[in-house]
Amino acid sequence: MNNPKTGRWALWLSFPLAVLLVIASGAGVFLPSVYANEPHLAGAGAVSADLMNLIVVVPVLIASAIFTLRGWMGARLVWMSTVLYVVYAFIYYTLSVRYNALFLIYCAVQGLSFYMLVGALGSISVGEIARRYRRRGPAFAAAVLLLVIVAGASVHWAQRAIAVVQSGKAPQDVLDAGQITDVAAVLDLAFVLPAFALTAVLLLMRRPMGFVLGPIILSFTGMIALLLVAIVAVLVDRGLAADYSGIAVSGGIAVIAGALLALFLRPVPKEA
Amino acid sequence: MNTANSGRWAVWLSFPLAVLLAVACLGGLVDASVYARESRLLAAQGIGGDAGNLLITTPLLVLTAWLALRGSLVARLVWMGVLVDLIYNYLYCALALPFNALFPLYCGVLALSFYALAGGLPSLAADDVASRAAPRAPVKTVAVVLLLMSLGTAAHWMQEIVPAAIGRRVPQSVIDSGLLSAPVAALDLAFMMPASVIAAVLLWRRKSAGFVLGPVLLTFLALGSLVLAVMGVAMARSGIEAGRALVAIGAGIAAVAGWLLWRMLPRS
Repeated sequence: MNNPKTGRWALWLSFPLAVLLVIASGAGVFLPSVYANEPHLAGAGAVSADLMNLIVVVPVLIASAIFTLRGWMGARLVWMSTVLYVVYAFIYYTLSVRYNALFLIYCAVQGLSFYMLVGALGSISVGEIARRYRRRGPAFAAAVLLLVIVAGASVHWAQRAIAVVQSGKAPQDVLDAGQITDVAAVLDLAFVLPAFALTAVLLLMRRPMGFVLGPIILSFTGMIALLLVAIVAVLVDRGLAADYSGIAVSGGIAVIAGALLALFLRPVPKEA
Repeated sequence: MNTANSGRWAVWLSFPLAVLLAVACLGGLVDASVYARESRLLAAQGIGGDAGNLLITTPLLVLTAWLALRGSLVARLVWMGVLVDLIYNYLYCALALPFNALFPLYCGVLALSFYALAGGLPSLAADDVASRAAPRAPVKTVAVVLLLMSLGTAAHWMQEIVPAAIGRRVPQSVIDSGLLSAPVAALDLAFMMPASVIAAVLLWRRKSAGFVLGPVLLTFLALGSLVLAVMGVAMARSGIEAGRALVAIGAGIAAVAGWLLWRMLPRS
């Protein structure tokens, strides 16, 4: 329900969450000691995520919380996707970044964002959101985008799985990054891809829940794609990648997801 | 709410989940290469965890799913607790353990547990559960136990993390484990400890959601402690001294949590 009085506590927690994010990511960007024990690739990945947090996530989190508190339904969906992104990103920080002085802050961000999301779930009215976006939302195009991503990622992970089974070892890029397991594969296979597929199916069937999940997943997709853009940019900057060619696909997905999200959330013209 | 008819698809996921879980546990027990890269302690805990999940968690998952499909509210609550336990354990296995041949199964167990729980939650009406709670349910006792448990967990981790932070070093347990970070501390501090505090507060204030969260967390605690006791047996068999103490601690906590769970579950 887009009642600003519902789930307000979760929205207000956005502000301490933003402070914690600025501390964690600011330290990651400006204090070299934080990622001193990381191999080059993993360190670059962590700094990319920090830049993403500082430049995109914190401003969007604050802005969407404020607009939601003022009663804008679309902002609530963007806010939920931003918090979802924080939950996702901080699984990396808590489990995949080598233990450092910020560990407790990572745990605090992880826990706070997770319980904000859970707390906010009870405050949305599926029926009301579906009524608003069902007629005008680009459901088919969004479903196609999500299914294309699911198909592409499935092929990617299947190829890696075959290579892993044949060699009996972790993928080489995981070992090169100094990781002990394939965290991206876990998050994609266990959480993200099933959510994308489920949302696409619900949108194609024009089920009310699809019109809630659709904008949230589109916004989340845009953020993940922007994170990949940031990773390529940092890798090139540090001489760990040759050029910016890796940006094309991620940047394209970010633009398409952003455009579809804007179409979903565009204001409804007042009836005469 | 109609527990027999809502969210049935989520409950049905339990059966493929049980198959994946059993295969993953058997793999850990029979294939020596699975835990070959881990320290002796983590390998013994892994084998014990597999044995516990195969002998206790898998049958309990199937039984509670079957009873939940027949309309049992009690089974539905315990089933959700089993899923929370699986998500906790397999987040650790999939994200923190060194990569091994069972990795795809870990992802499968994690995904099915998560989506079964997410799909099963909306069909459970907290008001209905609260209205059917036993009149003499030990609500405040459970609230205190959950609160003490969360405080104990926090104290346990802080006594290691805070001195390490002050000394600007990595905690010894992280170094000994050979892992990158402190995954169990992260799962406890970020997820389980806040959940226990929230459940304790809700139960103390007799809010409906507390009557759902309480039994779910007690199931998690009882089941997790039982599996911990089995881990202790595996550790003792590997010659690790702390194994016997772990058996006693795990069995003791499981007995208390199981008794409180029995008293908390709805009666009609």
